[in-house]
Amino acid sequence: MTRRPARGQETEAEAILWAHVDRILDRSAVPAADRDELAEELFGHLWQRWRDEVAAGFDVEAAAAVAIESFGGADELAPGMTRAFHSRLFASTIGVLLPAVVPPDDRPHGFTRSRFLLGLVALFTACGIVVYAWTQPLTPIRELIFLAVNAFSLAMLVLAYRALERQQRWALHLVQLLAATVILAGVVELLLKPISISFFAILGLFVLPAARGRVMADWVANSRAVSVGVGLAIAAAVVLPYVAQPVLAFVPDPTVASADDLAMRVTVTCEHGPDGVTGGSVQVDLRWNRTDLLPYGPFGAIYGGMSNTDNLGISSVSGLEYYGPPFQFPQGQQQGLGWSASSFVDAETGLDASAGEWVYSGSPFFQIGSEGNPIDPGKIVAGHTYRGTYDFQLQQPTPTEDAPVFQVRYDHQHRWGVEAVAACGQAVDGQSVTTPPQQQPMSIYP
Amino acid sequence: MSERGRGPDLSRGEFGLLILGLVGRREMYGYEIVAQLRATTDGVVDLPEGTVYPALRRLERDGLIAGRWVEMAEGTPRRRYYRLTTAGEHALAVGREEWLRFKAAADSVLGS
Repeated sequence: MTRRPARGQETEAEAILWAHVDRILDRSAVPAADRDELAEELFGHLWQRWRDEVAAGFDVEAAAAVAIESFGGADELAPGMTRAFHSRLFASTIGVLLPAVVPPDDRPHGFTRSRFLLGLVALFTACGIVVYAWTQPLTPIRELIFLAVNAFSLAMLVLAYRALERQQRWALHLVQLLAATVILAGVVELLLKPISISFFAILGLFVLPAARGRVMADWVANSRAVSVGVGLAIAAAVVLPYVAQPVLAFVPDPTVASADDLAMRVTVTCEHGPDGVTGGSVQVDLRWNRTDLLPYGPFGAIYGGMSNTDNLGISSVSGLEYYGPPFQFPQGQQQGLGWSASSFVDAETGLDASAGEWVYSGSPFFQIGSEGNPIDPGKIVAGHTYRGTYDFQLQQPTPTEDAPVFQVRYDHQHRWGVEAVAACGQAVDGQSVTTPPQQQPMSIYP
Repeated sequence: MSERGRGPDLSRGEFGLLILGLVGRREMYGYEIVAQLRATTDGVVDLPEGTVYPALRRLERDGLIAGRWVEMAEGTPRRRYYRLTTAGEHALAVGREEWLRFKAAADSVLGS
């Protein structure tokens, strides 16, 4: 229990000395349990020094000023106080979230601009984290990396926001790099899309000159120089969120499906007339033996499900390619240049599996599923066979040796694939294709 | 060298060792430690007085010194006195030995 007198019962000198103790401790991260005793000990020191100075002939106020001067300022002592109770890591992270040192009116002009940029980028980063965590657009490993990178960046931005108030040099360096980075990003964006002008780049143009000015340099002049480690952390916090997404496209993700998880069989049945093949059907069986690795996003991975879109612009599609004489689409099976299945069912349940639209073929590639029509997470059950049937009629009878050959390929985000090529009367199992070729537009009309 | 003497150049370990050395002589409180440090070193070690308290807290946390409150006369704030623990005595002995070895090495280079 502290022996501090109640306010108003202190002498004038005691009030001055207690105020100095409060300034020091307010800027230190001293645990509440230790604060009162430490305050009393610091006050006792100041009081004794004050009394000695009074005894030496100083008046009350001058003696208090000497005692405080000899003791050291709050800025000088607070970091040491914090480190006495916490690790250096704590002192340089949570410790900087303590109240401001300098009254708002004494802050330089560049300070406000710098903090505005930090605050705004932090806000956008926080929103991005929430959106990505909620919508889970990436595959699990990618999502975890993306979230980790942005969470680290957000933490650094928030710390810098407070640290700048506490006149710490590293925070100013972070602002300078951030301003330069948003300007650079804005220039790149402008080059790629000449009609787009980045708001952040414009903001960066306002902030950078002020952040690099003499006034702000003086503002942080008394703080510690930035170490290599802190410099790297600053660079990582600013640059990584910009480069993470494009780089992640090349990060292999072991938590998504592989070719071993999908079995495919393609069966081609032809109808024969007196002059050869007149038409027939292509039956495509797809069976995923597990779906727990298919979903994207860490939460999706836990709860299961499947989605085949990825905002990196890569999707999982099945391509049905055709080599052979021209044919006509049966009634109702032509969708633009696409080819719709006459039926698509869950072979185990007999239920229509096309309700999720994932068998709709809406492009010249005859895709089963596409970026615009992704596989519905709720439509896939592990171990079930999904059977799509595609009918065709040739424009004129064709000898069997010239009859159609169909190539069906499931392309999983251009990372792996399963492919089967079947002609009339053949049932062919799909084979793993490690590097599926990009699908090329192919006209069905020779 | 600052106006205060050899303050900023003193490492945390050296400062702690000096405090152990003083407290090892007899039980002392913070103000007394600062005064003794200044007097014993003839003002060479003259840090801001408040810096002794984080150092005392660290040494106490590490179990090298133990503190206790002592009531004073009416109107005088009570004081927290520190004494060396057994672990502190050992740390002081080791630290002193290392310092003497370093001093001998430095003397052999710089000339004594």
